[in-house]
Amino acid sequence: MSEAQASLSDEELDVFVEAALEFFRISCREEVSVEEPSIAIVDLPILDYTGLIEVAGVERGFAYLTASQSAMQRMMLAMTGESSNEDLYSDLIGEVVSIIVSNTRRHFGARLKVSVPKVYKKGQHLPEAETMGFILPLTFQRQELILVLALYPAN
Amino acid sequence: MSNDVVEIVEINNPEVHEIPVLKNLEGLSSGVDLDTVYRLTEFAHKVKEGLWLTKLEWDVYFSIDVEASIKDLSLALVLPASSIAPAVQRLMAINVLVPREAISYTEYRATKSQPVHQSVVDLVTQEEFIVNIPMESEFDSSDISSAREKKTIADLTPNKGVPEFPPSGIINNLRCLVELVCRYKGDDRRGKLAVYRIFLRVPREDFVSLGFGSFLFLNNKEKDTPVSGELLSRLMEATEMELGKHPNAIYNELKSIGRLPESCLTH
Repeated sequence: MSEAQASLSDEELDVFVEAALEFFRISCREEVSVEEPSIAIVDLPILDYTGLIEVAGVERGFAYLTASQSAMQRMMLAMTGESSNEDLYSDLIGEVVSIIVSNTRRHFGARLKVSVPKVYKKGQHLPEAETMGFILPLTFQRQELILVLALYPAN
Repeated sequence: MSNDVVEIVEINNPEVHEIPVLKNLEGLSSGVDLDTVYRLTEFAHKVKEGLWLTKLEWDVYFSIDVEASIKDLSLALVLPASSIAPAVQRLMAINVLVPREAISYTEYRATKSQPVHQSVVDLVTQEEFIVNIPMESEFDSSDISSAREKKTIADLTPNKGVPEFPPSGIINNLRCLVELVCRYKGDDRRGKLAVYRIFLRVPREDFVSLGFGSFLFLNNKEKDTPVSGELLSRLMEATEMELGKHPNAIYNELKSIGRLPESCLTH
């Protein structure tokens, strides 16, 4: 199998995680704490605001960042200096995921096709996962976010 | 007793006059034999506190005093065999029950132990080699036997014979495998992503059928549950496919450099 067709290695999957961490470093000028991960076999976690990208190419599935209301408030404050407008939280989570997408696109090129981000608010249903999820809890200013990878090799 | 025997057990319930215990065989898979005798494994006794079973499975568990067939259980619990059989099959899947004829590795080894009075001829015929025999001129005959170092075939060919992984005595086999992979990959997040990729190679239903909803990398012994031998085998195959190295080889490699994770150490 040529490299262009090979599915992602565990090191390459970590690019998604690094892209998320990079966002906080640059845009929020603050590190997030990375907590102990887990593997969700059935139910994937979802918090108040979720930005999701669908993936095709050598991998299939999706990845998303989901955040609590209070985490969104803190992120908004860190990025814009104000946090009162909840209407902007959906835009913000979409923006965060867009930045993660652009970083991953740069890394994987044609091997991965990544959709534009989709935003979900609490109560809306995410696409059904066809696989298990890698769950990485993050803490930003003591508020909860979760990065979820639910990707499986296409071949 | 053949499978077509029908017995009716009556109980003193005014609404249910008879319970067709062995009559109701519908739903039994073709491989189910009512007369096969099962027994609890050593593993079952060790991990009882960590098991999560349905009420019926616990009823079956506690009804097997020493050993019992589905027919025995059906009569003891006053339930149709078709209800008992799935519980027995699930208990077999998670290595709690085995057919009476099955023996553990420990029991197998016990059958191979040498009696004290065994002759040299017996030793040779039972595939035991004697190596490093000292020159007889250097010792009197009484010293020779004690100076001989006996090695079995398995000792001389470490990667053949009985696999080293998971090491004998490890109850939490899943934790042991996961931490072995993490240590091999460097004990960081990438090791955990490698474990994720290994899990993906095994059908999700195999975990779900054993009651697994998630796996925490944080070592939380209270929530850990050992997995069946069948699932462990699949995970070991998946490990070899994902990493290009069998867990036996990884185990031996880490053992040789003294870097085995705590969960793989026997005490």
